[in-house]
Amino acid sequence: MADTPWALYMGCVIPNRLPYMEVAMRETLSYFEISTQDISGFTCCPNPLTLSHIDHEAALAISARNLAIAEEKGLNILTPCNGCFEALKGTAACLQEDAELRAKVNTILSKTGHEYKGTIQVKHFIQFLFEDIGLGTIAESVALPLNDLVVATHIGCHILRPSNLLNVDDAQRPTILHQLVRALGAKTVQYPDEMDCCGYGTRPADKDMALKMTGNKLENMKFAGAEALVVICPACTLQFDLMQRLALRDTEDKTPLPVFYYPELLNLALGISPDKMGFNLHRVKVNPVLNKLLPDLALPTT
Amino acid sequence: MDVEERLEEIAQKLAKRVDTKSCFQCGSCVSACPVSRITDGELYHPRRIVRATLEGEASKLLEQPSLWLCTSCHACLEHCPQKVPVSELVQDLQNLASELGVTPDDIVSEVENIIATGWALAPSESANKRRVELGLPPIPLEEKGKKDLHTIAKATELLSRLKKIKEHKAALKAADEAIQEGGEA
Repeated sequence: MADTPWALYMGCVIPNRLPYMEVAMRETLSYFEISTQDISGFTCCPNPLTLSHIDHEAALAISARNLAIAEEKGLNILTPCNGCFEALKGTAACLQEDAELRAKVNTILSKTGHEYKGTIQVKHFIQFLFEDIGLGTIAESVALPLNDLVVATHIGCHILRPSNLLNVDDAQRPTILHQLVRALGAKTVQYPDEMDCCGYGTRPADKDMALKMTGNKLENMKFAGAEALVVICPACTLQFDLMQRLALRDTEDKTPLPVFYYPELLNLALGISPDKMGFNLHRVKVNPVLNKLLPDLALPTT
Repeated sequence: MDVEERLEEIAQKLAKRVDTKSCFQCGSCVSACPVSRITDGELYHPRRIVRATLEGEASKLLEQPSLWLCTSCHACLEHCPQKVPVSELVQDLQNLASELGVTPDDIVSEVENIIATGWALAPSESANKRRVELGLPPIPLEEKGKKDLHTIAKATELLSRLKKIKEHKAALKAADEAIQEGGEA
């Protein structure tokens, strides 16, 4: 795949707080020989949970500026973050269907010397794996089938909804993450309130409520028999991994549930050494799962 | 700015996209809403927000902290059998509340950070140090981007709303202090 149309848009949470997600993503891209470009000029997507709540029009203009930066270089955008995806893809779709709004946003953008013409594609990395690499290629590439692993999936809200703008998967019964996990040989469980928010979205207004939502979901996943959780979004990762101890404070079952970013699990199944990833940076230790998949590692679990 | 006028605009914007009589108050939005369910509908209730807007009574919602409990998960919008864009309406109301200066502190500080540094989370030296250890490229500094965001904030209402929010907070604090002093006297 020589001439690449993809610019990487990493956002801010992954590069700063969860760099191991970026390491895993870049390993996957390199395995499948997808060349991408790191370009300069991007700013905040901006966060669809904060800036657009104060001024939606400014949020559209800031997103459109990012789209224009990639468009000027003849590139499409590939992002590993649900929030960035919603902001960028949602804006691209909004401006596609509403020429009047696009003109208005471009009037604002002209003050920065940019114009968004509306020619670029925005894809979430997981959508790219599903649509452009494909389940077939992924399944054929598996060197270490994850046969005995039972996982819960949480795809997150902002890759799916509003579905009229994002159009990635069924907004209420999405299957792509289940299918991608199963392509590795692992089993996925379904659990009550699977489609509910991780809690992150309500954090700025009420941190305790956010934790209660996270705790409820973790309990449901464990009750359904999951021994790990698979996510695809840094905000969900912050809630489920970094905040897990606090989230489980008021739940009955306090057993930790290791959290994996899908590309990490994919890379393990592809035979990529765990040493090449930043598993030590997870807050909830993943060693029990790594030992199960690769018994020779005999990693400490306490 | 006249609040009633702006509320009318929001109600009309909603009416343009959906038949205003189409919301028959079925409550699908409430049962889809994770925040409503976790609080038994006592704190945050999307059906009542739609009704208040359509009946021209949304001004009473604008100063309520509960308006900000929405997680923006958009489950309400997807579940609505009448295609009422509930979560987008909530965002319109939040925008209007911000115009009045009422916005949670954590949201304001993040947005100020975005304008000041270009990012919700500004690149830090320690993050870049860890990135190098992991073999990742350092996060680029975007001076032009920072400047552009400031230009956009000025060209839209973003800067004036942030100013209004600051003034509103200062006024509340002054009123609070006046009450305290009055109590002591």
